[in-house]
Amino acid sequence: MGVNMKKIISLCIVALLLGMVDLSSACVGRTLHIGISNAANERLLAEIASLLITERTGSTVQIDVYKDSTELYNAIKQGNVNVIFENTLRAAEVIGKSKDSTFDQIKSDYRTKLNLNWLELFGGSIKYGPVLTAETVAIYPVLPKLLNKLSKALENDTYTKLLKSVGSADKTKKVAKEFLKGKKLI
Amino acid sequence: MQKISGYPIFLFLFVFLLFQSVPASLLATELSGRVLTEAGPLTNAKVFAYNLYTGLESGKAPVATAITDLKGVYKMDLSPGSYYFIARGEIGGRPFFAYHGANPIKVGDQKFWLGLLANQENPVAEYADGVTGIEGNILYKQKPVDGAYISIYSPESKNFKKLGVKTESVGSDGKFKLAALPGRYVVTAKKIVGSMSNRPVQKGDLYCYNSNNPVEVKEGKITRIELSCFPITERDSFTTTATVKEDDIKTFAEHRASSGAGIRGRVTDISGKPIANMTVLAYPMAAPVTQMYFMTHGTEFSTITDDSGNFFIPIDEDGDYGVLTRDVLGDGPHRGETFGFYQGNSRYSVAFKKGMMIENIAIIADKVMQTAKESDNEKKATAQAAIIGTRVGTPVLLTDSVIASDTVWQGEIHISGVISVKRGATLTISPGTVVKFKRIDRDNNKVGDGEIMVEGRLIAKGTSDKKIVFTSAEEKPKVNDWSYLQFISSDSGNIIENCQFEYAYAGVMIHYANVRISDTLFRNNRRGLHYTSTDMRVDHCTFIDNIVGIYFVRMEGDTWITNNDISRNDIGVQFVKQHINLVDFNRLDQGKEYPHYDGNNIYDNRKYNVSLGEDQERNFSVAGNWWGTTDKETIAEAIYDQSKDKSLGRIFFEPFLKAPVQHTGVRDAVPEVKAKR
Repeated sequence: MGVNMKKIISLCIVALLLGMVDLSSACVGRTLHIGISNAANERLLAEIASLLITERTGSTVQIDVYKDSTELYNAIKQGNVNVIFENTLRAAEVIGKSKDSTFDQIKSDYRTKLNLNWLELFGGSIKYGPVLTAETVAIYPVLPKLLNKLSKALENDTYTKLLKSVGSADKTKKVAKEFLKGKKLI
Repeated sequence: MQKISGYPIFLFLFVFLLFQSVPASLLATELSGRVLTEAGPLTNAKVFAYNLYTGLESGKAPVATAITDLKGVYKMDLSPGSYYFIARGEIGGRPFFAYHGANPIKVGDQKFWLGLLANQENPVAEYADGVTGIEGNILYKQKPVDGAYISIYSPESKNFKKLGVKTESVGSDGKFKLAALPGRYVVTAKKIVGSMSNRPVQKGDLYCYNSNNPVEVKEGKITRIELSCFPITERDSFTTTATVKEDDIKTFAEHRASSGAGIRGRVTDISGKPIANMTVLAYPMAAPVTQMYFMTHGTEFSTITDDSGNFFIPIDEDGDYGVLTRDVLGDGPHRGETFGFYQGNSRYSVAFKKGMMIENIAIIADKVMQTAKESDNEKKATAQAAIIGTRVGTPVLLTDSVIASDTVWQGEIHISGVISVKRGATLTISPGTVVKFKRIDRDNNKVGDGEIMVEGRLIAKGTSDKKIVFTSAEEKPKVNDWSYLQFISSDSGNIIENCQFEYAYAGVMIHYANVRISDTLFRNNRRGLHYTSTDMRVDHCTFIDNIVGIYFVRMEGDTWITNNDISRNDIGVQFVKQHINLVDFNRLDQGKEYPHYDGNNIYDNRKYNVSLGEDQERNFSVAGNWWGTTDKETIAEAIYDQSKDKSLGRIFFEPFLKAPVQHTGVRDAVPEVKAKR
C-alpha cells in the first residue's frame, strides 16, 4: 500500500474515532461557588448566603461574577456554579414561559429542563429564591434547610429595605453581616 | 507554487464513503445472552440497548433491539461503546422487565455473554399527601428484603453505582421512607450480604430497581413505589433453569475481570504480611490535596483483596485515581478499623490511561487511632536518618514527594506542593527550623496547595527559644496561603511542641490519629486546629487571630484541651456536623466520647466563644473555663447554641471559672503575642 493511501486510511480512522469521543463531566472540589450576574441585588444575596454557609457549615464559598444571565447559565451547565439567586420574572424568561407563569410551573420546568432546584421564595413584589444544581444538593445536603432560613428572614419588604441600605458596593459585606447577626442566623 | 492533485481527495472520500457503507454488523461486536425469570426463560421478549439513559426513559428508538428465542436467548451486534441494557416481555399477559445492574456496560471488540434477570413490572407510583419524599417496599421473590440500602440518583447521572443524591439503610421489613426534594430520581437498592455497607458486589448480593424509573417526587406528596431485586453476580439463587451458554464465550463479568486494564496491587501490614478482605478504592481525583470528601462519597472503581492481599480494579476511563484501602466503608474511619493510602507518590494517586494495566501498587494499611506507646513519645530518628537542610545556609526547596524513610529537617525548608510521610517513616523537625509554603493553587480554589500529609510519624519538638515555624513563603502572607499539616490514620507518637502555625487553611488537621500538641501558637489561619477522631492533648497553646480557633466534627477519641488561650478569633471553638453525609449506614456515628475543654481562657472572640454548626443537635460541656467575665448572661450571649437556634444542641458552660486561669497559652510566648493579649 502506498504511503498516501496509508495516510488517507489513517485520516478515515481518525475521523471515525473522533465521533466516539466521550466527554466527561467536571467534579466538585471543596469550594462552593455562588454565581451572580453583575447586579447589586444579586451581589447582596450572594454575600448573605456566602457568609451564612461559611459560618454555619465551615464550607468554603466563592462568589463568581458573570457578565450576564446567559453567561451565568452557561457556567451552571458546565458545572462551574453550585448556587444562584434568581427572580421569578427572569426565570420565566430563561425557560421561555410567560411572565404570568406560576412559581410551581417555573419550579417544575427548572427541574426537568435545567436540572435545577428552587428553594423557598422571599421578597416583596418581585420574588427571589436560591436555586441549586441537583449535584449540589447531593454533595451539600444541609444547604436547602440552611438557605430556606433566608425565606422567613427576608419576607415582605425586608429585602428591598436591605438593598437600599447597601448604598455603595463596598458596604455589601457589612450589610450582609449585620443583617444575619441581627436575625441571629449567625 | 505546489500543485495540489485532486486524486488523494477523491480517494479519501471514496474510502470514507466505503467505511460508511460497510454494514454495521461487520464492524460490530457480537453480543449474546439470555433473559430469565424465576420460572424460566422469558421467550419472545425484546432486549434493548440504549446509548443514553435519557433514551431509555423516553422510550425513544434504541441503538439495537433483539428478540429472545424459546430458550430466552438473544443476539445483537453493537459498535464498541457504552450501553444501557433492558428487556421487556410478557408471560400470560403479565409484563416483565429486566435492567442490568452494571449499566452502562462498555462493549469492546470481543464478543461476550450478557444475562438479564427479569421480574414482573412494578406498579406505577402512587401519590398521597405527606412529607415530600419516597416510600415503599423492596422485594426479592415477592418477599421483603432484610437490611438493604436504598439510593436515589439524578437521571442525568452517568451511572447509578455511587451513593447518589442520598443513600439510606432499609429496615428488616424491606420498607423504606426517605425525604427528597421535588424532582425526578432513579431509585435503586442493594442488599449487601453481611451488611458490610458499600463494598464491591459479591455472590449473594442483590440489586434492586424500579421498572418505572425515573420516579417523580412532587411537593407535599409522598411517592409510593416498589423495587424488585435480582442477584448481581450469579443467577443460581434466582432460577434453576439449565444453562445453555457455550463455555468459550465469556460473561460480561468474566470479560471485565480479564480485560487487562486497570490497577493491580497488594495490601499488606507494615511487616509485609498480606491483608485479605480489604476493600480497595480508586477515586477520580478532583483536587491536588487530600480531601476527606472521597471517604464518604463512594466510587464505582473498587474491589476486595484475596487471601494473599492481592487486588485488581478494572478501570476503563482515563484519569488520575487516588487509591486507598479500608475494611469498612460508608463513613470516615473509626477507632480500630484498618486503613491505608497508596503512598507511591505525594498525591497517593495513579495516572491511568485506557487499556493500561498498572501493576505493583503496594498499599500498607494499619489500625486507625492506634494506642500510643510510651516509647513512641521519645522515639527519635534512627542514626541512618536522611538530613535535609542546613543549620545555616540556603533554604532547601522540596516539591511533591514522599518521605519513605526516617528523615530530619533543619534550617529553612521551602515547600512547593505536597510532602507525604509514608507509614513506617518518621519525619523529625529540628528546633529552630522554618518551614515555608509557597502559594501555588493548581485547582484555583483560592487555597494554597502546600501540605504535609503524615501517615507515618511526625516529631516537631522546638524549644521556647527555638520555635519551629510553619508559615507562608509569600512576601505578603495571608490566610489560606497553604493547606495544612495533616495527620491521617498516622502511626502513633506524633508530637508538636513549641511550634508556630500561621497563614494556613488549617494549621494542624487531624483525622483518626493521636497527636500531642503543646506550647504552640496558632495565628492568622482559617482554622487553627481542625480535628475529627483523635486521641489528643492540646496543652498550653495559644489560638489567636484565626477565623476559627479550634474546629471539630466528631466526638471520638480521648481529647483534652487544657491551659490554652483562645481569644481574638472570629469564633473560638466550633463543633460542626459532618455535612458530606449522604449515607445513614447503621454504623455511621459521630462518636460518644465527649471532649474535655478544661481550664482554658476562652474570651474576646469576635463573634462567638463557642458555636455549634448548622444541624449540630448534640450537646457538649465546656464547664470549668474562663470566659472573660463572671456575668452569666454575657457568657451565654457569646455562645451559639439552642438559645439562638432551636434546632441545635446545647453548650453547657456552668460551672464557669470566676477568674482567668494563670499562665495559659504558650509558655514563654513571643513578646508580640503577649503584648497583644
